[in-house]
Amino acid sequence: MSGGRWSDLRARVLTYGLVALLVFGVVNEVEAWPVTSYRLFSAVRTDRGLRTDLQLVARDGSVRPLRLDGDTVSTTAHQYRTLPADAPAVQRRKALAWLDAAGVDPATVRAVRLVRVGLRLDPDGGAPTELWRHTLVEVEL
Amino acid sequence: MSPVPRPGFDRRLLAPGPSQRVVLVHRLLAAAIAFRLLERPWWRSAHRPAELFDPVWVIGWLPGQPPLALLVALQALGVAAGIAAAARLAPRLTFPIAWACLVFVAAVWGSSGKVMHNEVLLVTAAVPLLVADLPRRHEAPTVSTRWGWPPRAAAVALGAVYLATGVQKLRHSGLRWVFSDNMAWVVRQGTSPFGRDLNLWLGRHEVVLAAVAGGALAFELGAPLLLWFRRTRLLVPVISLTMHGSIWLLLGLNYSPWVLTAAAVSIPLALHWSPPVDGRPGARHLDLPWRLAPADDEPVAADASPDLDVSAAGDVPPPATSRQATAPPVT
Repeated sequence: MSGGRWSDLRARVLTYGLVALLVFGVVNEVEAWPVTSYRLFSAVRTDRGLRTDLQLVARDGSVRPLRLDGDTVSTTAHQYRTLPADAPAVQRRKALAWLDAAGVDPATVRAVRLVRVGLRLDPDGGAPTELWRHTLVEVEL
Repeated sequence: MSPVPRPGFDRRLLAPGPSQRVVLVHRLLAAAIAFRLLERPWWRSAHRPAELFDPVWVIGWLPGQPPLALLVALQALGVAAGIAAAARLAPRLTFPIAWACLVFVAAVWGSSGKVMHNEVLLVTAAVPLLVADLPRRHEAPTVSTRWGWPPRAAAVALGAVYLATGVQKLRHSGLRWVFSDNMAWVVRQGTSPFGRDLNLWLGRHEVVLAAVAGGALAFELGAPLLLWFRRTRLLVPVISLTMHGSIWLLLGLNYSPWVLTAAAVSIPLALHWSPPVDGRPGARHLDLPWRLAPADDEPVAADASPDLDVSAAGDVPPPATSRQATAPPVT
């Protein structure tokens, strides 16, 4: 039994189209899920690391880091990088959402501070050495 | 006038294939989709604060984060549809339903700002099967171009995705990805489900880990080649299981859909299909990489394509000159 011209055309359009889409995503570094650039562990890791922390500045002036737990909550930390460019109203809304997700009463917090930290990592699993830090943005609540 | 010769890849893509194989790939991918839908608590996406919902492209049209009830309903619907497709109950309807449910819940899960790759291979490799023709449930096994291309298109997607992951490593890191302490730091920074001691112990073996990195990169870049030859296809799910299994063991990242996809696509393509014997059609044997010479009972197919499965056991001669073949009806 032959598939016929329609079947052959469908096979070609689908297969070559799928490959073209994959190539397009990779070449142009597209992240339009499920089209992606497939950058899985593609950067070289060394003993130097970067970390972005969200810190709580309490009303009494003390500072402590905010911990995000849970499958779909902890990954929202990837939105930290766009926070400095967000409008002030959006920054405040997101900061309150992170406090809510971490179970922190916003009434106890004066501001949320986004900090970039440069680290030297310990090969034996000890605490990393902080090399530098600077504040990216501080959101008053 | 003689027909215009077609390039080798195109000829192989459109070569006839046995109906049993497209059915098996379809059923295995449906089972993989059902398993993945069952495996992860997709409804937890609803626990994410609505303000932090950052929709990925495919669900960019949504006005906001979907409610818990919708996620639970779609997960249940997808599992039921996947099981139905694997059981061959209205498979041309239930398979796309299961696939769409997986795409939706995975897209919602991944709408946190981090690019998630766990489901992309399964979602991508299943696309050709969404529109593939399938034989009717009690139809006698046949060989046709209609059945040949969908499993091969899925294999093309599988090979292309693995190749892409390898190419990106070379593009962004070059050979330093292998020839440095990169893999040692990947391992040291991870946390095994069995505790960090395993990571720290293994992280001290930099040469071994560089060799592992070399093997992983070689597999990713060579996956299309492994899939091209029938005899090496079985290596793909084996290496995939080893690679993603060790990623889970050392980093706790679950890439089970990649392993299941590799198995669902590669194993049926590594099989030779025999015509029905005593009314029981099925696979004759797996082509293993170390079996270098073809068996005596394995006649060369009509147009000599290495992927052409019209070869038959001695009791039913294969068609000699046509791309078409119909196996005798099951009695």
